[in-house]
Formats: sequence, C-alpha cells, structure tokens
Amino acid sequence: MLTIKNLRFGYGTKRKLFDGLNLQLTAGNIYGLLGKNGAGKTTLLKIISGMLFPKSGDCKLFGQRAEERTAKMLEEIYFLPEEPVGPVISGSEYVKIYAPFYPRFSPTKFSEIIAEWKINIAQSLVTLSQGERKKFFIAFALSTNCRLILMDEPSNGLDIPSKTVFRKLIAGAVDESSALVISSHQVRDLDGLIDPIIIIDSGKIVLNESIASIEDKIMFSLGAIKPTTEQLLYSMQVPAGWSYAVIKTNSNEYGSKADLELLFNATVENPEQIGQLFGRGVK
Amino acid sequence: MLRTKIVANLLNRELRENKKSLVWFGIALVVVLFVITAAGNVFAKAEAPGIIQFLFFVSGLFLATNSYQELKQAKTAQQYLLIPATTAEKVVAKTIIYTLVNAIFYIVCLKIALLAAFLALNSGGAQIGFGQFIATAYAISLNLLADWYAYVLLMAVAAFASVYFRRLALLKLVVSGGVITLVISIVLLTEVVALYHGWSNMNINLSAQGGALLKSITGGFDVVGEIVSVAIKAVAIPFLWALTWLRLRETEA
Repeated sequence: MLTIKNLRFGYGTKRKLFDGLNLQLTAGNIYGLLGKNGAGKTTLLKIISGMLFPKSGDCKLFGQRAEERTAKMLEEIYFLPEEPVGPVISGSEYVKIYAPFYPRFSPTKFSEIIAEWKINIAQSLVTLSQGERKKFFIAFALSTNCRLILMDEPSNGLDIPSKTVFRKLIAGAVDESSALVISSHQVRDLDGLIDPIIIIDSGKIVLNESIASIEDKIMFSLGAIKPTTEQLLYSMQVPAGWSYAVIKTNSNEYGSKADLELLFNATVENPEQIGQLFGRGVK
Repeated sequence: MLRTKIVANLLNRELRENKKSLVWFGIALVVVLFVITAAGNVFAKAEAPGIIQFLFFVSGLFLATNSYQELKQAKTAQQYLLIPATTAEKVVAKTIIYTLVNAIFYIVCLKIALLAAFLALNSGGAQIGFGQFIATAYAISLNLLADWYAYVLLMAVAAFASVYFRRLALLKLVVSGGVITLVISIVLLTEVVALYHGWSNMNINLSAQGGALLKSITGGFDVVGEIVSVAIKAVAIPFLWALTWLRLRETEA
C-alpha cells in the first residue's frame, strides 16, 4: 500500500527533519503514529498524501509517487488535518459537492455517523464549533471508503461522549483492503485501538511493531517499589506506586497489556535498545 | 486525460462555493454600470463609453487574480490540492470560470444595468424606444467581444499570477507588470537610439524620435512582423495555461 524508502526531507536547508526514513504500511491495520512535538508526524502525513515533496528518496502510494498526486491516488486517500476548515457552505451542500469525487462514497454510512453524533449538517461549516466541524469531517472521511485514511490528531477537541463514538467508528473502519493512520498525542484515546504502533523520533522510525510483538518482548507492570533490574526500560511514579516497562527475560513472564504511554517514553528514552530488542537497528 | 464529469464537478464546486461573494460582487457591478450608463445616457450614442470596456477588463482581472484563492492559505490549499482530480482538470475548470463564466457574468450584470438605466431614463421623461435599447445592448456586447483575445490573454496572465504569487496576486501582478514594461521600454528605446545615433548622442529627444526610428527599422519587415505577431498570439495563451498547470503541479501545502 505505502512504501517509503530512504526519505529525506527538511524545511529549508538547515532544518533537516527526516534523513533516510523507511516505512511500509499494509492494508488491514490501524496504525498509530506517535511522536513528540515537532517530531514530524504531520509532515510525514503530508508527504504521504503528496502535499509536501521529499528532497530525495521515494514515497510510493499504491505504486505511484505520492508527489504526482494523480487522480487515481487521490481517490484512494483522505487526509484529515488537525483543524479542518470548510468553505462557507452548509454541511449538506459540502457533501453534495465533494462526495461525487470519491467513487465509493457511502451516503448511508455518512448519514448514520451524522445521526449518531447529532451534527446539524444544515448549518454552515464555518459556524460549527471546532469539535462539531471535526466530527463532520471524520464522518466524511470514513464515508469516502478510501483505502488509506490519514488522521492528524482526530480526537483533539472532541468531548467525552464523542470520543466514545469515535473509538467505535474507528474500530470498524478498516477491512482487508484499507488502512488507517492516526497521528496523536492522546494515547489514552487510542488505547486498544491502534495496532501496529509507529514511533517517530529525531527524524527516524524508532519503533514499528504490532502490539502482540511488543507484548511478547516487553512486560508492562505496576509495583509498589521501583524495579532495579538491568532490563528496566522506563519507569514512572503513579499514585499506586511505580508503573514500568521491562524487557522480558523469558516468554513466561506475564504483565499487563501494553501501556502506550510507557511504551512511548521507553522508546524515545532508549531507541537503540528498542531497536536491538526487535532485531534491527533504528530504521 | 480529461474527464468531463470531473471537470463538471469542479465547476459545480467553484460556482456553489463562491456564489455568495459573486452575488455581492455582481450587485456592486450592476450599481456602478447603472450609474455609468444612466448618467452618460448610452442609448443616445452609437458606441459604448470606454469605461464599460475598462470595467470589463478590471473586474475580470480582479476575479482572475483570485481564481486560485484556495492557495492563499495552507489549510484551504491542502483541501483543494487533495480533491481527486488531475491538475489538468483543475486548471481547465478554473480556466472556464475566469474566461467564459466571468465574462458572461459581466455581460449579464451589464444587461441588468442597461435595463435599469433604460427604465430610469424613460421614467425621467426621456423618449428611448425599446428597439433602441436592444440595439445599444447588442452593440455594447459586440464591442466587448471585439477585445476577446486581449481579455483571454490578460485573464491567463492574471490566473498564472494567482497560482504563482498565491497572496495579493493583483497588486503583485500590477507592480511586476509595470516594472517589466518600464524596463523593456527603456531597453528598446536605448537600443534604437544607440543603433542610429551612436552612444555619444544619447541626449536626443527620445519620445519624439524613438517611435519614428522604431518604425524605420521594422518598416521593411511588415510581413515577417505580422507572422511573428500571429505566432506569438497563437501560443501566448496556451503557454500561460501550461505555465499555470506546471506551477499548480509543483505547489506544496
């Protein structure tokens, strides 16, 4: 579906962001793209969607170079920005105008999502609140049935009931021919939803593994005292004691399910160790 | 490859999204044209006042320099560039808007203004027959169509400026156009004067003799000049469209 090889990109000549980045995405997954502020998550999504051009290297989407922005490619990709803006028209008019560009757009799916979120699509898009507008565009994005949907911080600005609906929608959004990439800081919103996890740091992919593979090698646990083992990757104090991630010494060790926050911190603190743990250097 | 259905969808998008601003612009245009036509009583003259043609170009220029207004902001540019259509289809849809639709829009506004002026003048005591009104409206429209090539060429330049500059395209186009014209004029006159009088006589009256000198040089090449002129005319507009396409294709957001 997507192959990025040896990608180099930077803003201007001095600020290098990616230097030899490699990534491969396959259908049937909901990828979680995690990274610190300024790590390049949004930039990577823009490069994938053909909005920004790599300085060198390849970014091929469905076998075509992303920067060519061919109609065929654009029919198969939807990029939802962090703060989507709409023209000065109503939601229903927006659908009438833009839905015909997407061959597999499902009006039924769109109506169902809109009904669930109770969005007034007769209202002008510019007068909707930020959260409402975001929900409208999430509904539109999912209804396009594009094979690759990129979402930049989709849960930002959503209230708690809307996040519950969002999780439900995302859980059923992908089939064997499509994939979703969600870039977010709100790891708690995506817990149990995203798999595999991609962590980007200092212009490199430092982790790109499935949850099963991560849980196979790293134990996440909670204890009263801070562990002192050499296998400790990361620990943080929580009200109940210490939450920590340690490298498993044998496969019989049993911990809790993968804690994304611990995993993220452990990965950005020990990228080399994580790279070796998963049988390769940092990509 | 151009898909007519997609171009039609793009046109539909352009018209629906811009309908409010177009209506307001149209109302302003009708008011201005009404004042011009009523005050000047165009029905009494055989030809349209030059200001109607001037306004035709100025309003077209204003709309065409805003034709790629989505590119002014990164967020709207992303939305536009991600519409599933080829760059050629996007350029064709925009071109139809800024050459045909905008011109028709102006003519419709002009007809409304003429009708209003006709009614106003007649109710004020003027004796203007309906036949005279029709003849005037027809003659003015023909006058506008006589400048069609220049109109399309100017709109193509303006649309390219809209893609190239993205923001404040009209202002930047006027400034750069002025600077280029000035530089070319100075270079041409200097060359001509230097060629015929030598560099030592550069203090001659340029405005008086420059034109005559230029005519004496090109006088023998009328046919060649005509061929070159036609050739330039034939390629100028497609060349600008191609430049617009190239620039849009290379646009990042």
